[in-house]
Amino acid sequence: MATTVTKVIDPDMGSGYDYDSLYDWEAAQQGDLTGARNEIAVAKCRCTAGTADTTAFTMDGWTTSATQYIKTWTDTSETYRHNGTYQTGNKYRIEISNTNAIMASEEFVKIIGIQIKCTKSSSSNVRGICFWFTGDGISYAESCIVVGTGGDPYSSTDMGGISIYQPPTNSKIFVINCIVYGFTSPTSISYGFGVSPYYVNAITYIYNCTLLDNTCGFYSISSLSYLKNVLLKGNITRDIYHVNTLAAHVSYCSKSDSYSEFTDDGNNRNSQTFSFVGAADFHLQASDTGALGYGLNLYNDADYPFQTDIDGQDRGGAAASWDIGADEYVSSAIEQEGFRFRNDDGSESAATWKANQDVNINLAADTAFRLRFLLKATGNPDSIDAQAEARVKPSGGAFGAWEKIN
Amino acid sequence: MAEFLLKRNDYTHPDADKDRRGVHKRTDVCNFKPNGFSLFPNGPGSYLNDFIFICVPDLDIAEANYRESWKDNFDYEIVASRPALGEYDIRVFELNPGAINQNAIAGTKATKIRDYMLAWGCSGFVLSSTDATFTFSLWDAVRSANFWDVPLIGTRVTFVLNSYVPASGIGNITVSPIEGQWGTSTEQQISQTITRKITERGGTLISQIYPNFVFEIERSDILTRFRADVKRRMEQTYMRHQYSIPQTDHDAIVSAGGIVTMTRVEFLSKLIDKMAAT
Repeated sequence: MATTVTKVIDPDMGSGYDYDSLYDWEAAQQGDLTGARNEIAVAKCRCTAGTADTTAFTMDGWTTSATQYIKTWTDTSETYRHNGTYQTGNKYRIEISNTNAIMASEEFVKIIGIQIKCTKSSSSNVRGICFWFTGDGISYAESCIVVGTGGDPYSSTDMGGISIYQPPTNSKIFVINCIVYGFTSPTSISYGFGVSPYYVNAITYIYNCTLLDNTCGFYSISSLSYLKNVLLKGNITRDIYHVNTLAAHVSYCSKSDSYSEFTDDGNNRNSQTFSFVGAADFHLQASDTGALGYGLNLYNDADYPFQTDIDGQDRGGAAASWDIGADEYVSSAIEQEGFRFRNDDGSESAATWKANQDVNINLAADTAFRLRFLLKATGNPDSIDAQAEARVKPSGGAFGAWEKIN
Repeated sequence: MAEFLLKRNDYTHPDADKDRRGVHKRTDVCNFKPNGFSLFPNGPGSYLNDFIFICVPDLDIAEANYRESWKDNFDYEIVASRPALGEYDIRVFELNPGAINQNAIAGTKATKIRDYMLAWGCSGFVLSSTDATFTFSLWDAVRSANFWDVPLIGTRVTFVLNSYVPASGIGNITVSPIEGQWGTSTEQQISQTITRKITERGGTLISQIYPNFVFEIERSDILTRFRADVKRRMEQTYMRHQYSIPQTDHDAIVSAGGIVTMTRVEFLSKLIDKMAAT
C-alpha cells in the first residue's frame, strides 16, 4: 500500500510550512511515485496570513498510477478552504495572469478545494486548470472555484476555466462540484469557455457544476462527455455547445438559455431563472425555482458516486432529492443549545461558575456577572444573518428592551 | 535583488521526451525569489533539503525570470501565391529551434504538425530537416474537418463553390447539410453549428434558407485563422527550463553548504541559455 507523503504549501511561510508555492512543491517532489517511493504525493495548501500563490505550475515528468497519485488540496479539517464562494483573506488561492494556472500533464492527478483566479491581458492561452496528458489514467477536479477576470482582448487564444485536451481512450476526467465563471472571449465561443473537452478520446464527466457568465458554459468538440446536474446561467453566447452531435450526454441540467440539446434525455430544463445568495455567491436560495430539487441523485452513480456539495454539505443519501449545480441548499438555523452563569471574578477563561448549566439565577440589582451560551448551527451558518440580543427582567417587573450583544 | 533556486538532486524520467519536457534538472534555474528569501525568518521548511540557492543582491527581481521553459513558437512564410486558384505555398518554421536545430520542425514533431494540417485540407507537404512547406488552399480549407471541427465533414454536408474572385480573394460558398447524417439534431441545432463556425473562421454569412447556407470568406482571413489554430493546438513545451548553470558550479554550491552569493556579473557569466548552446 502506498505511503501518503504530505507537504504543506503556504505562501505566507507560516508555522509547519514546507514550500511557499505549489510550483516549488512540484519541482521538489517530482519523481516516480510507483517505484521505490510507492507514494501518494499530497500538497496540503494553507494561507496563514492572506497571501495568494501567484506562480503558475505544471505537473509533468512524474510517474503515477491509480494508487500512487498526485493530490493538491485544501484540507477540510483546516480553515484554508473556501466556503463555496471565491474568498480572499486566509483562504488558499492561486491568482495568475496570462498563463495556465495549473497544467496537469500527468494522469492520476486530483485537484480538490482549490480557488483559482485568472487574468488575461496578452495573447497567451489562459486556463484555470488544463488536463493535457497522453497516458491512460483518471484525473479529478473537485470542489474548485475557477474565476476569469479582465476580459480577453485577443480572439485566437483560450480564455478558459477547465480545459481538457488529449487524454486517450482509456482515460477519464471527472469535474465535480466546481464553479467556473467569467471566462470570456470577444469573438468565439471556442476560446472563452467554462469547461471544454477538445478532441478528447477519454470520457469526461461533469457532475453538479455551476458554470456562469462565460462566453460558452460547456464547449465540446468530438469528445464523449456526460453532464449531470450542471447549472448553466448567463453564458453569453451559449450555455452548452457541442459540435459532434451525439457525443455529449446531457441529463438533469438546468440552464438559462433556450437552446435544446442534441442528446436531451427529457430531464433538462431550459429558460430557467435562478436565485443565488449574492452576485458572486452562487449558493442557492430557498426561493430558487430553477435548480433546487431538480437534480438527479448521484449517490449510487455508476461512475462517480458522491454525496456532498462544494462546501461539504450533505446532499443526502440514495433517497434524497438533489439540487442542480455545485451547491446543495440546506435550510439553515441557529438555536440556543444551552447557557450557564458565571461570577465576574476573573478573566474570561478563569471566571468561576455561578450555577449549573441551564439554571436561572437571581441577582441583586447592578451586580456584574458573566454568561456563557452555546449556539448550534444547522445547514450553512454563512447564509444566516444573525445577531445575539439579551433583555433583563427585574424581580416583579416587566422585561426590559432587547439589547444587542457585541 | 533576487535569489535563484536549483534542485539539489537529479531525477531522470525513463521516457526521454517526458524527461526533457517535464523534469526539473539539477542544474536548471528552477525558480527565483526576492532577496532575503533564504534567510527563512520562519524556518526553512523543506527548502534546504530540496534546493540550493544562489543569492544575487545586485540583480533586480524584474530581470530574474530565468525559470521559463523553452517553448515552441511557430512562424510562417508565404513562399508563393496563386491568386487565381486561391492557393498559397507556405513554409512553417520554428522561431525557437535551438543552436543545432534540436527543436526544429522535424521528425515526430513535423509529422504531428503535418497530420494536423492535413485535417485543414493542406497538401503537398515537403518536410526538410528544419521546417515544412505545404500548400494551403481556400477551397480545400473550407471543406476540411478542422475548419468545422467536425470529423468526416464531407459525409455530413455538401459544398458548392459559387464564385471566387482572384483580385479580392473572396470565395462565395454554399454549404448544405445532408439529410439523415445529423442524427436526431433539429434544423435549429444544425443551423447553429454551421453558422457559428462560419463566423468563427472569419467568414460572413450571406443568406440562410435551410438547408442552404451561403457565406463568403476571404483567403487571407482564413489563413490567419488557420495559423492561429495551429499555434493554439500544436505548440508545446520543448524543455522544462531554458537556463541552467554548469555542473561544476552546482557541485561547488552544494559543497559550500547550499547557499552562495554572487554578483550579477558572476551569475550571468555562469548562466547557460540552452537554446543558444551548442
